[in-house]
Amino acid sequence: MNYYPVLVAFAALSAAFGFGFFYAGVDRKLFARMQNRRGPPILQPLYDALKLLFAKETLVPESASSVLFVLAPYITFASLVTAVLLLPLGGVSAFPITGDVIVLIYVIVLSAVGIVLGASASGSPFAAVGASREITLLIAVKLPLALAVLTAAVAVNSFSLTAIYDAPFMLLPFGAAAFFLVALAELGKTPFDIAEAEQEIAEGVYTEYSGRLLGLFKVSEVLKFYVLSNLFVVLFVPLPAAWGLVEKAVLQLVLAFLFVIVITLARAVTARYRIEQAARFYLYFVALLALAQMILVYL
Amino acid sequence: MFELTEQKEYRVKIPIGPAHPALEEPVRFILEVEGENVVTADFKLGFAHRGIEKLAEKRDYTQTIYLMERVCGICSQCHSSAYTLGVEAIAKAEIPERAEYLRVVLAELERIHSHLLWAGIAGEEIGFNTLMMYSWKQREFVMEALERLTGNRVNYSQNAIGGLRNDFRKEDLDFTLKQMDKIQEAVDYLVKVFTKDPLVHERAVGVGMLTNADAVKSCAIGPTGRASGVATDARKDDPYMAYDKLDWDMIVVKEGDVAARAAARVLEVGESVKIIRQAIKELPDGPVFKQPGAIPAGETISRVEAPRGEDAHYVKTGNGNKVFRERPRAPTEANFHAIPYMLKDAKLADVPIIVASIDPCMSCCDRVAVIENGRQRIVTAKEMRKMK
Repeated sequence: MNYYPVLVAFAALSAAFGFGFFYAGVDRKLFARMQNRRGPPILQPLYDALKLLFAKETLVPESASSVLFVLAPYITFASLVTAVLLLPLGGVSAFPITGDVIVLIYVIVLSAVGIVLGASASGSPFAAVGASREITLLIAVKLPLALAVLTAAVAVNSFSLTAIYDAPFMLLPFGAAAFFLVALAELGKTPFDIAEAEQEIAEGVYTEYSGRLLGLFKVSEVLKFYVLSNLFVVLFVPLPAAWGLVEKAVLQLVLAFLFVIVITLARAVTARYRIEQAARFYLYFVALLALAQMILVYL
Repeated sequence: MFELTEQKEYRVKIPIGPAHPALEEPVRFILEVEGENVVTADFKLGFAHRGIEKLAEKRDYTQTIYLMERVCGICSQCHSSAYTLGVEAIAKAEIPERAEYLRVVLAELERIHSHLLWAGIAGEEIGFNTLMMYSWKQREFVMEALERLTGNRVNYSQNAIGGLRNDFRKEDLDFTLKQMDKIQEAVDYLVKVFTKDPLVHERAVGVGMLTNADAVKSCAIGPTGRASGVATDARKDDPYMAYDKLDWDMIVVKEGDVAARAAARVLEVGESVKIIRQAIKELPDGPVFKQPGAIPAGETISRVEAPRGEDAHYVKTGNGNKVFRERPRAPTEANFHAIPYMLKDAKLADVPIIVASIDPCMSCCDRVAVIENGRQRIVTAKEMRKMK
């Protein structure tokens, strides 16, 4: 039996959990330093997740539709684990299937659908408003997301992530910019943390969640942070083809780390958009940005 | 498993408060929303009634000063000043000039710290966390000055009937002047943030409109009124302390939206810096306290411009060296009635910043509510007369 995919999958998952929590911790620490605060320790997101997963009581509210309520965090978590396995690390992925670009877009959308399902099943007015905002964002953001990801696929004429990884470098500035803006909304960072706005709707979609179920959502967020930052590197940043697997993997993780720092910077200097302003921004500006890149690639 | 019933209206009732992340103090809003649009808004006060008016009747004149400081944690100097001015007016006491100037310095330092605190909260309400951290850092300069001058960061305990309890040291006043330079820098920066930052612009301009007519109708005062073009300021209209001897301008903005209220407050900080610099420069020498004579029975209403608007205290003195009646009217009590006008056609996302834009201080204005059979009831004027 061929153990190679299992090994790769194990490596990808350990990198995802390790660096995901590291990115999330650095994000919080840097954010605090930019505001002249001391900030939590780098490992704080990991402590929080462990506490929620193993030490806290899980409550299912009486008004919730309990099957969906419990199922939703698992859907989100599972879809992001799948995304991690599809994502190439150092040029290899656990499931190097043709068309994994499409599957990756699909599972990223599915993770948001899980959040919406859970929120609408929890029977709380805050979650209901949060869910409606999340759906609006989903409609507005996923089109530019797909367009931005596909610019890279069209540029190398392949739907395989490993092929995009190994392809010679092509400059896709508008596509990269669009992907960055999409990542802000996907990760729920200011100025697009509208579905979780604590000042208005008290964490919105997550209001009723507690204990292990909330912990799963939090771990999913961390995984998403890892997936999107690394996906940016895979799609838009050139990696030297001559390098070995380990060197490439390290370089990829470091570049993804720079992406995280830029995201932190963006969220430190902005206020939160209203939902209709954000939707307009994505559909009129970001989608057009990605589309322009697509047209440029064809030319 | 699922029951489908035909629904005509897709309205969700959102309760905000009495405990909610957006609120610092207990108040309850019940908003009916359709999607993101607020359809109806209702609010309930009365979660933190502390019986201060009743307590005042048990205390003598000096004790009541400290009680009045505890009406509000932020404008404590204003409440105790309003009460002290009232008693002094009844006693026809002469206040040393130096004390009047120093009272102005304290009141204006308090205004700066209150407005910078507000700027931070406004940032937080629109999701701009860094703005909050920044303006609270700047506020710390004022807090340092207040601590040096009085020994306390809040509730300064400096007022006395007849002047001030302590004189301030020269080096502390110089320190205050030095801190004012830093505050002026912060003001210049905050003006830029509230007028130029594109995202703050998107969230503040045209949001929570209060037209001049509505502001007059709802009796809005202070920066809330002045941002809608209502030129009223107790410091100008009815000068007290040393305000008529100093040169400063009343900030009046016409637009009437959240951005205008922010501008009014930030520009007012600039005026406060101006006032403090003048007051310390022109500070007369002499004592800060003069013992007043016996306080006769009488009544008066004194007005003081608190950071949030005009603070009016009704004081009635009685026999036996006791306060007969003391009724503070905190500015929030006047400004709260403007909120329904501002919330008209608002988006849910804008509700926190709109409510925060009057700089509410709920606990200052909480009154007792009459509850009968589990329902709140309004007491009519006729019943009031009967009770008397």
